[in-house]
This record gives sequence, C-alpha cells and structure tokens, in this order.
Amino acid sequence: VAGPPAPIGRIALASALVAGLIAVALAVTVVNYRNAVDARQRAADAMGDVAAARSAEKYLARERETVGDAVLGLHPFRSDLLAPRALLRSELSTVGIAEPSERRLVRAALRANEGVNAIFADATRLEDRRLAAFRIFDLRLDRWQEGVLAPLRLLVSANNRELALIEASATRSSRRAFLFAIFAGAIAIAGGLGFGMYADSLVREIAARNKQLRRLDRMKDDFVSAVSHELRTPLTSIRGYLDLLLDGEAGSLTDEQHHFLTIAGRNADRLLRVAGDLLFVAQVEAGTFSLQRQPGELDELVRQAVDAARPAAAEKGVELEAEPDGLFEVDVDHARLAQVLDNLLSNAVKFTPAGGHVTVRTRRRGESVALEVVDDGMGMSESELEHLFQRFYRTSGAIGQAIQGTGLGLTIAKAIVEAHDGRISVMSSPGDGTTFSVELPLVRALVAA
Amino acid sequence: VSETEPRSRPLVLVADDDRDILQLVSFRLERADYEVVQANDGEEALRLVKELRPDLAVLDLMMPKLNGYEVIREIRRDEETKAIPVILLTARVQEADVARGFEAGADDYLKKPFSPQELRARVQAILGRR
Repeated sequence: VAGPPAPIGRIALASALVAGLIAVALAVTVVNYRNAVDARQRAADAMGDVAAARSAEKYLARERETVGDAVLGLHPFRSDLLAPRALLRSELSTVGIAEPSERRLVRAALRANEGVNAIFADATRLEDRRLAAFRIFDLRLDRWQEGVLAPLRLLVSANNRELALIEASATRSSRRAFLFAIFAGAIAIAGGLGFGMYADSLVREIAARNKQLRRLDRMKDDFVSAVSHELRTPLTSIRGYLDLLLDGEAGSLTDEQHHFLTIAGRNADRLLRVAGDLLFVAQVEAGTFSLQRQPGELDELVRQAVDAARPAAAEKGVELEAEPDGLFEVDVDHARLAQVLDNLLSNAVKFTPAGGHVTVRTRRRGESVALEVVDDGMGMSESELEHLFQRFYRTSGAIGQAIQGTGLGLTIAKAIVEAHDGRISVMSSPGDGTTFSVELPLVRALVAA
Repeated sequence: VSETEPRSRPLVLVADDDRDILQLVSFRLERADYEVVQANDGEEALRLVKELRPDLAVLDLMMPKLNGYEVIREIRRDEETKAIPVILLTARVQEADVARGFEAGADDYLKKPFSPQELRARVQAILGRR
C-alpha cells in the first residue's frame, strides 16, 4: 500500500497552515494590545497636563482676586505676587506637570511678571502706587490673558483633543486586539475541528482499507486453499490408479511398464508436494498456521531426518553423517521441525556431488541449541545468499544443473524456525560448500556438551 | 442388499462426487473384502445410510447438496443411525477443517491422497473396534 505518505503530507501542510494563521492572529493581537496600553499611558499623561492647566487656571483666578483686593486697598499688596514664578513652579510640581507644558507656562508667567516689576519700581507715591496698581492690574490682566490664560486654554483644548485622539486610538487598538484574539480562537477551533474531522476520515479510510486488505487476504487464502483442493483431487485419482496398475490389479506388468509407471507416480508425488508447499506458504502469510509443540530430544529428530534422507544420499553417492554433541531437549512441533530438517538435508544432498559429505551437527550455543547442516558441495555466491530465503528464488547452480525444486523449501524452513522463536542462517562460498545453521531455544541440556 | 439380511461381509458406504475417486476407493475396499455401496452426493449418502444402515460410512468432505459435515450431523441426529462410524475423506489439509470434522462427529479422517494401505488400516481399525 503506497498510500500513507500523501495523507501525512496533507496533514503536515494543514497543521502548518493553521499554526501559521494562529501565530499571525496572535501577533496582531499582541501588537494591538501593546498599542492600546501605550495609548492609555499617553492618555494618562495628557490627563496630567490637563489637571496642571486647570490648577494653573485656579491659581490665576486666586491672583486676580488678590490683585483686585490690593487695588481696592482691602488687602496689603503681597510681595510674593512679584515673584509668582516660584509659586507657579511649586504649583506645577505638585501636579507633576509634563516638561514641555511646564516650560511654556513658566515662560509665560515670567514674561508677565517682568513688566509688572518694572512699573512697580517706578511708582513711589501712594497715588502713583494706586495708579500703578491699576496699571499693573490692567497689564497683568492683559499679560495673563495673552501670556498665560490663552496658552493655558490652548493647552487644555489641545490636550483634550489629544486625549480624545489617544482615547480613540486606544479604543481602536483594543478592539482590534479583541477581534484578532477572537479570530485566532476561531481559527484554532476551526483548525482543531477540521483537523479532527480530517483525522477521523483518515482513520476511517485506513480502517476501510485494512478491512479490504483483510478481505483480499481471505480471498487469497480461500483461493489457494481451493487450488490446492482442486489439484489434490485429480492427483489423488492419478496416484491411486497408478498404484492399482503397479500393484498388478490390471494384470502383470513388464519391467519397463513398471519403470515408466513409477516415474509417473514420482512426478504425481512431486506435484502434490508443490501444492502442499504453496498451501503452506499461503497459510504462513495469512498467519493461519500454528505450531503443536511438544517437548522432545533434538537428537532423535535429527536421527529420523537423517534416516529418511539416507536413500537419496546413497543413490547419489553422498556420505551422510550425524554428529550430535550432547542431548538437547527442545519444545517444538515435531512434524514441522522434521519438515525443516528434510528440506535442509535434501538441499544438501542435491547440491553436493558424488563423493561429497553432508554432516548434521548439534551443539550448545548459550541459551540456544544450534543445529548445523554442513556440506562440501558447490556453494553459493554472496549475492545469491541474500535472496536465498525469498519465495521461489533459485540459485544459478540449481537452474544450471537442472536440480529439481520450487524455491519454496527454504522460505518454509525459515517460517517454521522463526515461528519457534529460532533463527536460521547460512554461510557459503562458491566451490567451498554450504553450512545452514538453525538456532532453537533450549529447554535444557540433558547431557552436558 | 437389505438391512434385515445378515451380512457375511461388512457393508461400507462410500460417498464422493468425484466418480474416479469413488471407484478407486470402492475397488480398494472390495479387494479388502468389504461390501461396498456408492453414493454420488451428500443427499444420496444420507438416504443410503438410513436405508441400509452400513457398518461404516466413508464420506468426502466437499460434496454437492449436503457436504460431509452436514451428512455426519444428520447421521448423528437420528437415533437409528447415530452409532454408525464415519471416516471423512478430505483434500483440505488445514487443521481447522480436521477439527471441524471431529466436532461434527467424525470418527477418523483420511487426507487425499492416501495410500491403499492407509485406507485399509483405518477402515480395519474402526470395524475391528466394534
């Protein structure tokens, strides 16, 4: 199934997109929130300015009262009025007025007082003083009007305008921050929902695909089982009727007739084995083959397999020996392990020329027992060893010398050994023989090696 | 052949939809000195079992109309026939099929292909047991 990469790519892309959108929305939110906070700070400052301007106005009102009192002779003329600068400054400092506004105010106040001081210095007589007082009053009034009050009013109105602007900008910023926060949340929710729905559909799709695969697997299983059945039934007839002829049920046979019928029978058997091997491989792949384990001595299983392989070895002129090295108890499916041994031994005999040797050894290897089938036959190249346990693989030697086989024997051997939690491996080089090694978990060693 | 007549030789019913195998098995059993009656499908097999009460039934697993499992179940359901031993003939070699055969009530099974010796030995084992 070549499906998975595409959906995973799509998920990654969608996740990145959603994450990006959320990040952008959050960034906009943060920037706007900061703007709003800054605007609020500036608004607070401006409000301080306004407060200072108001207090300055209050001060002016008080001063006018004092001057008025002085003019009417109701109140002694206070000398501190001559230097309103300090008063003004202290007045300003109590409200923590902003620097530019302060300078403007102070400068205005000073300008007003300079004129006052000059006029007052010239007036020596009471009448003059009174006159001077009026003049001062007028002058101060004018000067305060134009120098202090007007700028103050301007300042207040400017501050008010600025305040309104800042307020508006702060409101806009915080509204934007709020909108984008909602936007980010909405994207996150939509992304989450979309992702969830997509993941759900993907899981469903995978489940459906798995179901289909299982169905196909079952179909293949049924198919192989049916083919095996369909092959087996006619082969049963062929084998059965050949046996009838060979048993002389249809009259006595000449030696040649007997020989030919024997060959036909051997080939019917071969076809039956192929059908059986195919069925077995299909069962292994479908996972429907199971082991019937039973404790037993490995040595005994080896002896039986060697005995079974002896006629073929003798016919080919290959010397076959068993060299057990101690008695080992193993927990195995005896019929299946016999199948492994038969496969390995028949291979060794098939690929070893006349006069060669095939030896079966057993030895302890840690918590396992190793069973080795060693031959001094034709051997194999490294590139062939790589494919040796693949289904239907046949070595160049097997094909070149027309050695019979389906290329399923070692696949089956490997499946059986691995089902026993064992390991099968091979060592070989061309012309130098081959050693197959099967490692099986050891129950116990009955006789120390 | 009639159920009331005393039999000199044991009667074996053989059922298989494959005529070649049916004749092969019949021939081998006749050679082993059994009397044989043949059926070509499950329904005929069941009818003959009820009519003739054979000493043994050799049934193929895959047959039209009634398969081997169904025939065994019917035989076991009837008081009159439930003691008749049954050997299943099967070309299917999966363990589950064999287990299912025993569950249905088979006494033994024989995998195709089988040697004449194996057939004779299994039939003798069951009929000798009685």
